[in-house]
Amino acid sequence: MDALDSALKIEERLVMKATLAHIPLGGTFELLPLCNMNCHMCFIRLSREEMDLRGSLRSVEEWLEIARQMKESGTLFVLLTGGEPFLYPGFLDLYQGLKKLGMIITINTNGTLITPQIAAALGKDKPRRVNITLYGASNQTYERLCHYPNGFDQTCKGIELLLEQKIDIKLNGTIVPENVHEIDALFEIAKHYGLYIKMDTYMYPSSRERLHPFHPESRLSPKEAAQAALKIKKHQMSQEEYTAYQNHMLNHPSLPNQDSSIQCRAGKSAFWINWYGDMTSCIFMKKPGINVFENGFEKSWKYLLENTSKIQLTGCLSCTKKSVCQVCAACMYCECGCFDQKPDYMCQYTDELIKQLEDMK
Amino acid sequence: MKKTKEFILRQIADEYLLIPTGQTCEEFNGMITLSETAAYIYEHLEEAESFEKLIEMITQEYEIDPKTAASDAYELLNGMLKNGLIGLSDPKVNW
Ligand code: SF4
Ligand code: SF4
Ligand code: SF4
Repeated sequence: MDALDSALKIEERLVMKATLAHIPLGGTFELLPLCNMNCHMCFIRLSREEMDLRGSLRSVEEWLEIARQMKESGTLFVLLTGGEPFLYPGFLDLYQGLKKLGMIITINTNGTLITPQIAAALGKDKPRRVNITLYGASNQTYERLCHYPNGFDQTCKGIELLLEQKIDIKLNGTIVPENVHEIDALFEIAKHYGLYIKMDTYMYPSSRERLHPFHPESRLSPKEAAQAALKIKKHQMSQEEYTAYQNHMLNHPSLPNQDSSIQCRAGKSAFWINWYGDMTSCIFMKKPGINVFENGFEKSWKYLLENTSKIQLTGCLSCTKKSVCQVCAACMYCECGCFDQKPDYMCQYTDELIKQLEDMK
Repeated sequence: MKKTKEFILRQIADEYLLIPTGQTCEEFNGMITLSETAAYIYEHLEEAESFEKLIEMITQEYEIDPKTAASDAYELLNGMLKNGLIGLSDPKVNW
């Protein structure tokens, strides 16, 4: 059994045990809302002035103190994100401090600010992985979508610097109207670098931090999103896997699901802390939320556990497509603002997937 | 015996894990799991000045007879030596 295989098995086992025992195994530090890019659909980014109106960034020492408390409670995996985490003052000090605590770290970044110095520092004491979001396959798309003209070239440079240091990279792509024509090109880039790319076509309509509401035109229509999703699947799956997927989607078991509790790890073994310290079960949900810097980690985790378990997702209870639908608590929360209504967009998206797969038969 | 690699020992749920840090991340991708006794041995091997002393420490900590402790510890230490996790601190006495 190779090392990776066994590491994955250990991880799966840990996740299962932690979820059952309510151990906060994995957490995210959303270090700051600032970003050098400014993407249409972003729900976290604030300008410095907007940020100053809300509060100020927490220091490296404040985050490390929370991390020490997290360690006591059993946290092993920490995701560092933003905004753009490499803009966080003292990022490397925090990173190294977390490593010394025995945390396994992943970093989410847009990749444009990775310098040779940052890459070398990460290379000396490697993260488990760096996730780089690709917003397009050309500078033109970066300009239109992210208002950052040389973003594509800079991201490629960042990828190359990390690869030189033999750092594990995963590419993520969010497919939106501005880059939907570049799906093939995105796969080509991943292939060129020998990297795995995960692409999402469903966008949560969140406006979490921003002062304006979510713009519906910043995402694909359910029909376009389903088309794009199937195109992506064709890239990723062998013919056999695709046929199996098609059969699964078309012959979906029709028993309505009676379990209305949250099905994922959110608030059971996973948590999220935003830049001003509100700890929630998932990036998209503002409630239940509690300030971890004011209440300490243990108390905050208990609060989250107790209140997340009260959430009942009743909106989809009678639906017979639940086994083929990717609806989750955050989707309901973002689409409807509550948990007892059907999220229309997701219903249409699921129907479209089924319809398009049927048409292909 | 001495530890030759940078690992941090963590206990999460009932699992004992060695998490690589620093240069050790280059060689070990992912974590290593240990049993409770193996974790105890890894944690304390630098305190013991000989194999016999280590066995004494183990039998004081756990309800285990010296013979079983010795054969378990022997196997574990050999495995760790082979994989470069530990090294001899005093080659003259083979410890
Ligand atoms: S790069 Fe990420 S954090 Fe920055 S604006 Fe775009 S979506 Fe938001
Ligand atoms: S986005 Fe959905 S699946 Fe993911 S953590 Fe949040 S609620 Fe769970
Ligand atoms: S979102 Fe719509 S299709 Fe999906 S499970 Fe809920 S009701 Fe069914």
